[in-house]
Amino acid sequence: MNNRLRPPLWLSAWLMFGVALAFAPISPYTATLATEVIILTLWAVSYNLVYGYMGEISFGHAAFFGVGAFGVPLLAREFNLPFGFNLAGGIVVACLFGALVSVIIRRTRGVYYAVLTFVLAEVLYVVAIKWTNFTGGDNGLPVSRPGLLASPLSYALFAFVIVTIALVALHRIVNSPAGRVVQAIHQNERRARQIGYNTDAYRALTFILSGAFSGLAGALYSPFIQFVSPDLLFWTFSGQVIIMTIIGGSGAFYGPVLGAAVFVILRDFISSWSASSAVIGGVALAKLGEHWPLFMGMIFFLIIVFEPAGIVGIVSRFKRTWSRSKYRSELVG
Amino acid sequence: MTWISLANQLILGLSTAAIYVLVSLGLTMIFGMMNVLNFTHGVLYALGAYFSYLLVKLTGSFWLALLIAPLLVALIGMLVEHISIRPLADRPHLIQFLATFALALVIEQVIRLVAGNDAYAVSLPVAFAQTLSLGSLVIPSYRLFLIVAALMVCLAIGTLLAKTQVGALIRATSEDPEMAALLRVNTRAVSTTVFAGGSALAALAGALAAPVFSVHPSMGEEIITMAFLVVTAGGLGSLRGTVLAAIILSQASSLGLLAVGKYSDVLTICIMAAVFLVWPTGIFGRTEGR
Repeated sequence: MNNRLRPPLWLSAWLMFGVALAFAPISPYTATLATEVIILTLWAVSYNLVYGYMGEISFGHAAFFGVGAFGVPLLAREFNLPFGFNLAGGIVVACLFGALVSVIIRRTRGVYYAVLTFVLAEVLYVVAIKWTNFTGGDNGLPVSRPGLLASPLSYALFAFVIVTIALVALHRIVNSPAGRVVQAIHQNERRARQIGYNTDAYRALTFILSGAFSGLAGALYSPFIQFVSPDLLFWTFSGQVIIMTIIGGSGAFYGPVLGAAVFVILRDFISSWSASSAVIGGVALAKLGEHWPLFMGMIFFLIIVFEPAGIVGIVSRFKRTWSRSKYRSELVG
Repeated sequence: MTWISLANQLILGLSTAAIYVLVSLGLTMIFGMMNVLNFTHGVLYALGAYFSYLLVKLTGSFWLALLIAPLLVALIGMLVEHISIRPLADRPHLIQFLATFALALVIEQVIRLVAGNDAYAVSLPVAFAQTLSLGSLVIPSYRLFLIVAALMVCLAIGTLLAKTQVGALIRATSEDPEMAALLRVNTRAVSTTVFAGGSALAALAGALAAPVFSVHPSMGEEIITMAFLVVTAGGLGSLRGTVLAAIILSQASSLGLLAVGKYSDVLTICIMAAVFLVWPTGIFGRTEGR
């Protein structure tokens, strides 16, 4: 911390990624893939406020994401707001939902926290499915984006700018005094309460903030896929952000960034098998390609069992052996 | 006229409650034993339905399927416990919960890979294929059978836990595993037994539900929502709470259908949310949430 103005390493890498996005000659397909990584990165990092920093599992974060995603077409239709206001509207609605849920879950911890967030998110899913006049039900709604952002690359850059600002804000938040309190609550809530912190309020605030940024991610997502359906609210989608966060590593701020990237690239890679005609061990590769959650589930399981710190843990393990061998060679040499 | 539709919805709700009770009892017993909410419970329920479809097709007997499908799924349940709960025994319970979530994803995809995305129908057993009519009230007799079957299973579990040697071992182990182990109870065997038994109950529910709802790959992810809601609203680990919550939940949704139409599911979940506002760990939950 000797130089407060020097950006952290993850931010430099992230900005380099942005520069590459802007200037490297990339295909529209790559730009689309990059956009998804960018948006899901924001979702996973904001999810990690609750999982990594506060130490609770929310199984209902798809609700926030979905609220933001639905907010864009609904606000445009009902109030005729210009595009930027829709994004902000998604955040506001996500905040409101987060506040409502926080009231209900304020005294719950652990498994109950996971199940209650799971169940309350399900309310939104059911409403979205049943209220067909408003949300389009199973058919979903089309989402348009302004002409300026019509091309994949321009939307990728737009998403990159917004997400970068959000990531910097999130980084400031987790390293702020309030962020430290939340980490203290993670380590020992009773002690934090006895020191005099209103732990319930800090927990609720963390949940709402995490939800607000998830809502922003959702609001960026639906114009990106130009479509929104209740599937975005279903719990299996909440499961995806948990997988991203844990695969990347919840112990570091940049862990979920890696997780989102690995998740999207891996899913894309496995899905691409469905175009292949190879047969391995009697099973057509094309058929396996449709079942990417099978492989994602296996990888997730292996990570949980063998490397709970995720990719961040693997990297630091490599770093440790590397520095040890360097030290040894210095001794010998 | 209205009392007939009321009675109809009541019986419909109770028969749904029967399925919920059977699924949730296994889930809550497993939680009571190892403090882990088992996410694979939903796919085990689905597996029960698929096995029963297969067995009905092979043997032609619904009753044989009802017997064998739970046994097969109990074996799979033991495997799940062996690879997801055992190796993570000294890690936080929430990590074990996530491990079972990962396995649930895998098992569901295996089902889709093997059986495809189509839905299958299991026909009603011949003995319960017809309807009973009481005046102008017409009840499908299979619905009544479901209610009676769930009641019998509840009684059997209650007797097993309260009156038998095995039940005493189970109660002792879930109360205080260390003390039980000191008294030379093989706690590992006991918890594996409970896990297998809970899985068998899920499969039994799946097999019983198969003729009413069709057999399809997402049935697991649908039932797990309800099962989680039931066991937490009742209080995790509490058997009577589970039964009570299952009845409240299913009646709210079936009677609510008369009151608010298609939004009855929303009403149900709102009632449950109110339950959690009053009792944060469920109606019969322990005061300190674990």
